[in-house]
This record gives sequence, structure tokens and C-alpha cells, in this order.
Amino acid sequence: MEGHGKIEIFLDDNGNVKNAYLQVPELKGFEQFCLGRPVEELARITPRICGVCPTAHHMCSTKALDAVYHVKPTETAVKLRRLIYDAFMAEDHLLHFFFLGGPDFVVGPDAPPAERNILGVIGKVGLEIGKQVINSRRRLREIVTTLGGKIIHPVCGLPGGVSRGVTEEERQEFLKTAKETVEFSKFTLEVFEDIVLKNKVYLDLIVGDIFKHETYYMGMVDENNKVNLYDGQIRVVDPEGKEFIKFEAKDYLDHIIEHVEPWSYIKFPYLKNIGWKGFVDGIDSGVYRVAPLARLNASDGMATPLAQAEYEKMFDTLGGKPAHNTLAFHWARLIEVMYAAEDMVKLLEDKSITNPDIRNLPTETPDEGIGIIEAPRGTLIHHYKTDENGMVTGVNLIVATVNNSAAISMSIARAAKNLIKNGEVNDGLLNMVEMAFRAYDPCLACATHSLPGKMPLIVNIRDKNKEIVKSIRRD
Amino acid sequence: MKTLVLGLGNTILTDDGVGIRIANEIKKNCRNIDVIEASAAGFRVVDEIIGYDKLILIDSVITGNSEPGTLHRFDLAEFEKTLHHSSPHDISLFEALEIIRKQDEKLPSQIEIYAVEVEDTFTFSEKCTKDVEAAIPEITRKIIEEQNLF
Repeated sequence: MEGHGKIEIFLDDNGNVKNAYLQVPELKGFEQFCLGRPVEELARITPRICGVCPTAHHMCSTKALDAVYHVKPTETAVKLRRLIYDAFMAEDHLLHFFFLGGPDFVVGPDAPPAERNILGVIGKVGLEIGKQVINSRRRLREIVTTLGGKIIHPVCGLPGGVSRGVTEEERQEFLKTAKETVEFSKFTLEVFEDIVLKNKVYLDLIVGDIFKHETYYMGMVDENNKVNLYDGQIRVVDPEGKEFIKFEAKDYLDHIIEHVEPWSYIKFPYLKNIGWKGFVDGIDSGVYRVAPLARLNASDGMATPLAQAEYEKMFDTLGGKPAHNTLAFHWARLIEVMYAAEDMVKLLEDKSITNPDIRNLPTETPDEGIGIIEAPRGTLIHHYKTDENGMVTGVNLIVATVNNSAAISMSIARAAKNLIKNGEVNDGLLNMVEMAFRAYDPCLACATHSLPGKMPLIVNIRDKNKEIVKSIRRD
Repeated sequence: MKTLVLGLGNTILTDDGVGIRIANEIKKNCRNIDVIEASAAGFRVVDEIIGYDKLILIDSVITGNSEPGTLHRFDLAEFEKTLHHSSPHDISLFEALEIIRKQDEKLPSQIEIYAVEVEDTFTFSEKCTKDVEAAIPEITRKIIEEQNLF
């Protein structure tokens, strides 16, 4: 497969879509690579399996290390980890909106591919916005880099805490960034309102049937069932929005199991206690979704006021909770940026974040531990086993995109079936099919147990004889 | 001339990390340059490029037309042939440079691109395949010499 993600769309005798499949290549030997190493190394190695969200892997790994060593991080360490994580989440989501998902809306779903990019966005909304996106992301990255200890791949997480605290001077500087991010996120939501929601064609697309699936939703919540990205219990709601189950990280194997298909290396997790009924939605199918919209669906609200107001507005517009509209992932993503920014302000206004208690030293014998975090692209699980010297004897990762793999396949098939009729395929239609896919911001790299964020995607349309009639490639 | 060497790739996927390995070797031999590593050369790294006069990118490539360990040199326009010029979660280096240029930031006026022909980027290992591993010292020497690094 030579490193490409592939969407294969098969047409029937009449040129209508029979089925669509998502395929990704396999990377070999990850578990083997980890075995016998000191478990602390996994916090350094796992971020490298993905060039896109190294911070999510690092933080998840650090939480798994807490569990392996049976050590609780100090209060200040938890605040610092959350701060880094919020900054990362806001930065990553903003990149997706303005650079990757946004162009579909801002420039238009059927605009020529050459214009459907960030330059097209800047052309439409003005250079000033481009400047703001760049500055905002740069300042958020400064927080991650300063506290994470290294550009791109953070190294700050240790079992029981972090390696570096924050000074009073940095606190004040970061607080400025956090407040600016709140303002920028207000502005971004206004852009979304003006350009997307006020355009009837786009709104119809969002609420319409082409991009809709009634599935279960999974996300982490705090003790009040509010969205929490760093810590809490995993809550699953059914397609009607009722709580199906709430569980602790350590019990994930009781609830999640993976289905395997012969045509793809990607695994398809589903809810164990509902069962695998194939690539179908509905209350009897164990298919669930993760990531921004799923997190909002699986919660009872946001823990910060501005994000909460946006949460209410979104569900009002979409006709209640849960919202099954795949394109609303974009909207939910922006609400999470607001939440992350407000949470940063909250953390940084409290001077106790500069306290020196940044680590509890582990004293117990290491054995086994599970860490869960909400990565930008969904629930991320790291599960490690070690011998009594802390040498790795087993590793299992369920990465964010994999949780969505069944739903992504279904979304592609549904969009393709609705859009491609009588063998008529053009770039505009194919881009609409891709939009079903892009809403999840899928990271195929990581989904195959990795590759550093560089998996080109090929979409092939095949006629009844399985011959390719059209092929598009996106790098 | 303020010079940045950017190694691209992933050091835990066999040959994929060869660009980073070479960048780090260059760092050991030259004091007057900065070296960073990244997994793709899109917007996620472009912030780091600002302010330099010269940028040297070192990536891996599978052309299939030459032996593993062969060093290729590309123009910026040809850069898309290499493995890490962009990612589906990012924008390409061209787009990134174009945006930064529009913001009146100082960008390197000279961009040099190298890519090493590789064999395996799908297996987890911190070592490159035999021919690629063996080529690292010579490639390091060659780049230092060609680019006049010290």
C-alpha cells in the first residue's frame, strides 16, 4: 500500500455507489519495539508515533506512568499538565479549523482545490485574520514549548508530576496569552456564525441527511458530567442521548473491543456490551463516535461559562442533543477551543500554579497501568505492563482516530451513496465525500499504530468491473 | 549567515529518521548553526524558520531509482517528492512560506533541500537499514562541505 490511506468507492451496474471502504497500511513491530525498555521511555517514544499530536501521546503516557507506579501527581503538577494540554488543544483545533476543515466552508465546498486552502481563506476573510491565526498559535506553542521542555516533542511528564514548574513572570505572560485566546476564540466563533451558519446552503448541509449518523458517543467527563479533556471518567451515551455507561480508565477492556476486517489493517472498535452488527448505526449497533462533537454529546455541558453558552446555542440550532450531524464536529471543535482558553485563564489566575510541589516521587513497585486522555481526535488509551524493575512486558494503545474508524467508513459510504449517482463523478462531489471524512480530522498515521503524520490519501472510484474511473490524491 | 538545519522524519521508524540522524551528526561537527527536528515540514515548523538567512532541509525519499543511501538534492519546486514535505493534518511548506511571507516576516533567502534514498519506513526500529546506516557519515561530510558549514 506504500504509505497511502485509501478510500475505495465501488459503483454498481447503474453507476450508483454500492459500497465504500477505508484502507490504511500497516506498520510493523511497535509492541516488539517497546518490550524490554524502561517504561519511562514510553513517554518519549509514543509521542514520536505521531507527528500531529505528540502532546496528547506524551500526556496520556504520563498518566499511564502514574498508574504503573501507583503514584498520584501533586496538585500543582496536575494544574501544569492541564495548562500544557489546554494550550495544545486550542492550538491544534485552530489549525484544523483555519487550515484544513475551514476551507470547505469559508471558500466553499465546490471551489477549485487550488483555492480551497488557507490562502483561499485569507483571500476571503482578509490578511489580518491570517496574521491573528499565526500569532495566536505561536503564543500557545510557546506555552507548550516552555513547560514541555522541548519544541514539538514535550518531555516534561514524569510519574507523579512534571519536571518543571512555572515562574510568576511566566504565569503573567501565559495569562495574557490565555486571555487573548479567549478573545480569538470569540472571534473564530463569529467567523463560523457569519460565514457558515448564516449561509443557508451550508447550514442545510450541516443539518441534512447526507452527513448524519445516529451512533453512540464517547467522551471524558468530570464529576458533574461536564466535558474534561485531561481527566475523569469515560461516559458513553446512546443515540437518544441517555447515559449508557460510565467507566474508569482501568476498566476500558470491559467496554471496548475491536472488530477486524480482512480488507483493512485498521481495527474497528465497538461497544462490547452492545455487539458488532456491521457498519450500521442505530441503538442496536455497537458503533460509537469520539472527538469534539462526541465529547459534547456525551456530556451534560461545559465547565466554563462562554463555552457553555456556545454549547447551548449549538444544540439549539441542531435540534437538540445528541446531535448526529457529522459536519457539526467543526462547530464542536471551536467550542472546545473556547473551553480550553477559559480553562487556561482559570488555571493561570490562581497563583498557586507557581507552587514548588511539582512532583511526588514514586515509592511503589511498578506493574501495570492505564492512562486515558481526550486527544483532539478523540479518546486515547495507553495501557502498559512491566516487570518489577519497570521494564515493559506489554503495550496496548487505542488511538483516537481508531475509535472513529467504523463511523468514518460509514460516513464516507453514506456521503458517496447520496452524492454519486449514475456514474457521474466530479471533483466537487468527491470533495463533498471527503468532507465526510475530514470532519473527523482523522489521523491515519497514528491509527495504524503510526507514521509521523504524513499519510497521503487516495480516493478511487471503481466501476462495476472494479476498474478505476476516477482517482484523486490528497497529500 | 544565520543557518538552520532542519532534519525531517521519525527516528523510531527505521530509515524514516535518517534526515534527523544526519542533522544531529552535523550539529556535532558544526558550532555555528542551529539544528531542529520535526516530523513534517508544514505549518507546524514554519515558526521555527523565521529569522534565518539559510535553511537546509534533510529528509528521506523513496524514488525507487537509486540505491538506498544515495543522497539526492532537490529544488524547492521539486520538494514534494520527498517524504515529509507536508501532511494531511498540515499544509505544505510552500503554502506555509507563502503565508509567512505575506505577514512580512523574515524568511530564509536560501533554501537547500537534501533527501536520502531509503528502503524501509514501516518498521519500528531506531536503526536504519544497513546501506542507509552506512551512508550517514559520508552524507554528513558531504553536506557540511557543500554548504560550507563550520
